[in-house]
Amino acid sequence: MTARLRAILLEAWLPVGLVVLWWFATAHSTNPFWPPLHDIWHTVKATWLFDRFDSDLVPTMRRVLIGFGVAVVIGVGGGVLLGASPLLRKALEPTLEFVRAAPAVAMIPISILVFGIDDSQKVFVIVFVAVWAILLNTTEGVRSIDPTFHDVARVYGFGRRERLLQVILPAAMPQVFAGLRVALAQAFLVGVVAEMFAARNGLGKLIRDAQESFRVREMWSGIIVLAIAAYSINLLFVVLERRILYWHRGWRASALGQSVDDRRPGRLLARLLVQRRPRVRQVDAVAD
Amino acid sequence: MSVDAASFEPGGAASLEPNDAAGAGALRRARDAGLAVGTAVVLLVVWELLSRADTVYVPRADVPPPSDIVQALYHQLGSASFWSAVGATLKGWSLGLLLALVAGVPLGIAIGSSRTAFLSTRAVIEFLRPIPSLTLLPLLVLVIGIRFNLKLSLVALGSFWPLLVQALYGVQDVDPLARDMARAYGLSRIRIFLQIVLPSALPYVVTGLRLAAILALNIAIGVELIVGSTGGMGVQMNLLQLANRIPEMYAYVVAAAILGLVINAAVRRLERRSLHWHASQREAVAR
Repeated sequence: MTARLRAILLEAWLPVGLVVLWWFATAHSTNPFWPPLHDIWHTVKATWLFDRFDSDLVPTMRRVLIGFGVAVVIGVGGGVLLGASPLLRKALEPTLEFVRAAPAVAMIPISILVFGIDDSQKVFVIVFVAVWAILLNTTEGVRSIDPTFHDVARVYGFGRRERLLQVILPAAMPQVFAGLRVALAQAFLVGVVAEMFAARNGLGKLIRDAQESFRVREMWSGIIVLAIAAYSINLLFVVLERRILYWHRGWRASALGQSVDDRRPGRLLARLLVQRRPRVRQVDAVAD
Repeated sequence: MSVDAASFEPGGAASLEPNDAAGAGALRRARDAGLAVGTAVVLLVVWELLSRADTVYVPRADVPPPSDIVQALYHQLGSASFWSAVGATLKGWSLGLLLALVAGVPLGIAIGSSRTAFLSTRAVIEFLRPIPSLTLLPLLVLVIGIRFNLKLSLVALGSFWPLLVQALYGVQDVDPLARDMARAYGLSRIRIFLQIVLPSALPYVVTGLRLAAILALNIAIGVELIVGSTGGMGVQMNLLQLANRIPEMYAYVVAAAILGLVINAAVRRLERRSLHWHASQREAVAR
């Protein structure tokens, strides 16, 4: 128990210390840009519980999640097709490489021309940005499936559908998830930047407006809420990934002879950083 | 990095192909290239026709045909303002990336080499890392102002995380066997660090560099889009859109894509050069 307590203390002293330091260092601050953390905290409570929650946080999250969802459908669907067909791959890959090389944020002004500044524009930009990492990783995942799997499926007389659902998708899944993780971070980044550029509501818009009218406390509170949102969305994803890929991780762990402790469920936070990601060859995309 | 990938491709496509004559390979490559170029041309022609038809779905004013964009790009290539915009973007990109490299890699190595340091900083890193650095743009506008430093700081801040984390992973992923052997042979700690730890971490750092380089370009252009006074390609895109010179704006986006492609290719080349001995590169060479 004491060992456990010590482990917790070791991990907690710095974050707690930093917050405490921030709290006391700014306690009597008169610098307009660094208001006392105490005041910021009050602003967070006043603005976000639950005044701006519905009007700004929810729209941002909704756009990011819808955009991400559409990107998943297109990316995984297209990736399976590309991965399964060498001809299609040869024909399209160079074009796709070029299109995805465009800096994601450069799509923001273009999309405004076509979609205005409503939700559809944000969703379009998010989809456009997030789809590449998913598409390329799925393609790579499907392409590099062990041929034996296909042979076995053939021997057992699997139909198309069975082959897709029971062989191709599960086998490519670790790689797909590597892409999803990158894509989610990008979706969030570009969603917020698009809001800062032009929007009617949302976290990015709120932070930017607060800055432009020198409501510094509100700006700080927006940044803090955004940080928490980004962190939670990431955490949620890791939980989901572990649920879905538990078989892969377990297999990897035993194959690599990792410590049993690494495989024990729970203690999620403690393992976030050291986790052994599935060691698939990730096709890295523009990433945050 | 690619222990699996290597073992997962027993043979791969290349070894199944009969490599009887070099000519057959060249022919196949030419055919593939023709296929790729052909597809691209077909797509461009479809775009051109759709745009010229000027329907409600693809209004020519908003989605100009590729021929207009190419023409606009050609004109831009001869203008001084284009090159000074590219220069401004590249300056922020390179200096910010350099700063992140100098700060992030040593820190990542330091944290990765000490279990105490790693455990202590883990929660902080894990909390700060997912925050998009452009989120801090409004804050930095107030603190730093809207000068060039703004772009530099945000690029540095954003590309700091992938470099830090990759260096950290890299140091931790040193083969324990190699380390133990070095210790058994009585190598000094400094030599173990220089000859075992650093080379093992290098592939991770270079991967981090590639991720950071592309991210940095995004951040630089993102800052330019939002804050006009920093100068650069993003500023131009914004101005051209406001001036309704749409093909020129598209030309800038295409130029940015080319820049992204060049940066990516350059880092990959660096990767291949510096890591030719490493397992992750062998497969690429063999292909």
